[in-house]
Amino acid sequence: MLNDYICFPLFLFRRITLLVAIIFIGIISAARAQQASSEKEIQSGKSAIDIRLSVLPYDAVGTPEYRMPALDVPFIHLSYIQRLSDRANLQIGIGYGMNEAQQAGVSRHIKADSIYMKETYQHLSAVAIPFTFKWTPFNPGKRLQFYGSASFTPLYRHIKARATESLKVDPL
Amino acid sequence: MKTELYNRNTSSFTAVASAGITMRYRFSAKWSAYAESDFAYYNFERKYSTISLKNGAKSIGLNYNFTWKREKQEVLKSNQIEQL
Repeated sequence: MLNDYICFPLFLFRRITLLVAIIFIGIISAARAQQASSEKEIQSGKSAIDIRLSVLPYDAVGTPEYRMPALDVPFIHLSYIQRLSDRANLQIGIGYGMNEAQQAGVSRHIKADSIYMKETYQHLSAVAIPFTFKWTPFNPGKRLQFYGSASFTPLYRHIKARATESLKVDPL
Repeated sequence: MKTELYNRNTSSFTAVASAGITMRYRFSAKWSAYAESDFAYYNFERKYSTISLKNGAKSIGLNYNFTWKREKQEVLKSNQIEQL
């Protein structure tokens, strides 16, 4: 039955908010690019605040029972960063993520002259508290830097999920 | 006729461990922007292993550096000088 199941999305996933936020951060970043830099100031910076937008895969946040294709979860995080050394820092934050999706699938091949339809809906929201450690083997004074990172993120999530199926006989 | 397969509201805890790389560009002494990509994650709720090596989180962020302790000390010093 599943082999004949033709699935198509009825609604685009709601990521407009994420896109607006990404454009907003880009504008701020471009404006700040004009500021002068100083090596001494960078070395004296012990702490930092950080705002981050991320997209977590559904498998990391959701549950396999209600899995829907491409239902990734956008998050916004606010974090505090403590510099441990020139090359390492520790970060703790809080984040909120949410996504919603609705899908319907139709098949005419279950039985002759019949239409099978399955509709699913899911609303997922989660609060995350990520702990992140970052370290770089490269020169930390460079403008362009690369870090390796490891993080552990406890999550509290709420999932509202429903699904219905129906089999209608085609009058034709 | 419609048949309801499930209709549930569930809340639960889970945890995710991940590892990745960060590319950061510093615009000034105070500000930097970065992009992160996790190349691996593990969901602790699962009873089976779901380590992903290609489908981790993708992030962009903005970073503001500050040195509040140092600035506080400098303000104190300048006040002391004025008193003298």
